[in-house]
Amino acid sequence: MTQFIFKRVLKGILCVWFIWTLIFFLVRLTGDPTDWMLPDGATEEELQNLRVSLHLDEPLARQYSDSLGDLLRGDAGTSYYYKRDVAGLYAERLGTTLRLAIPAFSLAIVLGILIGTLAAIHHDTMGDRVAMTGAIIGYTMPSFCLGILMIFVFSLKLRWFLSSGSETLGQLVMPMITLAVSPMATIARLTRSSLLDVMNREYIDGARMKGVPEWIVMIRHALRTSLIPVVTGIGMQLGTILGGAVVVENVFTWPGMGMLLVTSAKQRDFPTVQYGILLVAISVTFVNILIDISYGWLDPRIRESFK
Amino acid sequence: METLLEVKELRTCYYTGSRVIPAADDVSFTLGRGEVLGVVGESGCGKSTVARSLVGLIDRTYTRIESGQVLFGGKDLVKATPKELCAIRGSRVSMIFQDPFVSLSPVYTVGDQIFEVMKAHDPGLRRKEAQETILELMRKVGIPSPELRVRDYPYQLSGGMQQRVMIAIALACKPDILIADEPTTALDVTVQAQVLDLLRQLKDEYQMSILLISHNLGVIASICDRVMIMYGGVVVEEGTSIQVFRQPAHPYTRGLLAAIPSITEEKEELYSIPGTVPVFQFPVTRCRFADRCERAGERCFREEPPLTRRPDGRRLRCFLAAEEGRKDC
Repeated sequence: MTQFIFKRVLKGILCVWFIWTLIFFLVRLTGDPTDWMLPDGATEEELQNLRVSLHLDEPLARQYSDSLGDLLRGDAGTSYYYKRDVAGLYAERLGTTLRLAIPAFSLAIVLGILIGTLAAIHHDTMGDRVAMTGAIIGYTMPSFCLGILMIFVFSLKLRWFLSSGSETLGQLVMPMITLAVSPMATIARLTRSSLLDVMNREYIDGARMKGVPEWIVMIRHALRTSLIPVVTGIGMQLGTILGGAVVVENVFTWPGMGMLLVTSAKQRDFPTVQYGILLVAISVTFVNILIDISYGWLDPRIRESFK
Repeated sequence: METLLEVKELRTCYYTGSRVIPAADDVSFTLGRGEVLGVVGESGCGKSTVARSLVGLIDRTYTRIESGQVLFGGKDLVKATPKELCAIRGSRVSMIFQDPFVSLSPVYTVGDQIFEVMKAHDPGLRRKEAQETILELMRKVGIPSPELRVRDYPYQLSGGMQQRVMIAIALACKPDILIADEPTTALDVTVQAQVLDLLRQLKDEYQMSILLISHNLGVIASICDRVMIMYGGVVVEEGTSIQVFRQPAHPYTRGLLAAIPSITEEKEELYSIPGTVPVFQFPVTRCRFADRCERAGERCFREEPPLTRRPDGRRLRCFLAAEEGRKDC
């Protein structure tokens, strides 16, 4: 087990390093950040001085090794715009993003599994069909579209919620739902199909034949085995949530990491973009390691293969 | 013999699209205490449907018990609530299934799965207190070194051991009736004999009745007191094992017995009943076996023969054999 985790973590580090490298070169393809940093009419000499001070005049390979070295020493770099270390910049906004992402992710998981389970138990009924049609709509609708639609209906027409800001609980409702809908739909569909498959297995009748009440059979026997593909799906949905947060934060002007990331990308603030993507990569990788470990808990046959 | 279970004119139908298929139709029988009743028939003849209908173990979306009664312990199980069925399942009526590997949950240990049935009927029971009983039960069904096996998962056991675990689960609450749905079909031939021996021995020890479902006539003959032959959802012949195997009366039973290869006779080709089991739609107005019957007359295609009792006690659903029987007496 320890060896399994060790291997998994090592692979995770490699993966994160690869993503960081990729983003390092990708942002540098977007152009010269100094174009935007000085007022119009700045001289070529002033521009050159700025480039030197940001080390942008050095060869790419040199810039890469310096940045990587700094990162390994715990220095993520200084934002070109805010003139502050980017780690602190993100740390300030982390709480704001988590305040949106955690409720949204929890809502997606809990409601997704619940809807999927109910749809599977009542399969081929009207309720099942309505739920699954809804899931397809939720899954295909882009989040910015849904967000703007919600602002139109609930802010402009009904005036129930404010369309922006992150101070009150009421302001959380719309961004949270917008962010949760697509992963929830995916999780519901996965749960339904996986559970339907397990429900037809003979050991479900075996459990019923023990005199165990139906709802316990469903939870203890059917749902537990059917969760393995669902858990994989949940891991992938974390990426959707973090990616979606970037969009949703911008739609609802939610001052979190996503908004910082988008603004920095527009401003070609290289260190800020790199660090933001690094954080996303690390959290997705970490959650996926946790998920791999949870398989062992869900299925003893997989636990065996860890040894 | 005390009658433990009485099934009266049970009819269970499958609903597929607009079709209504009587999977079990007009099935009546009794099961006495300590008796072993065999149910024989080809795949799709309704034998499993009958067994599952007894304890309501059917997919209610597509299957419905249309009519009939299952009288057990002074109650009609057809009308029983889910709660009442739960109280009976596993404690008074147990079932073992065809393939033990798919009938045991892959994610719980053998010990926990045996414990589950005990706990279901004794909510106050604790896992630790039950450990000794579980080991004793495993020993009884012939699982070697139960102290080690109790922590195993089903995939770590052989097929024969898995079926023994199923039997341990079925016997944990000392049931009155054990329904064995093809209990040996998925096992190796040598293991089949061991499992049958075990069932025979446990039947006496626990004083229970067994409803043994099989398409294997050898299995049935070796253990059953009475035999019921099913075809196309109906009972076509029922009698003591000796009656049915020595003097089969129904043309279908005769065909089944003729299809068993004999080691004393030398034959070029094995006998087989021509055709396949048809699927019937409701209502049926002919003998269900008529298409494949070598002796079917015009009446057999016009009218469904009733299940009648002959003077020797056996029951039969055939116009021709009934007439013969009258001549015999």
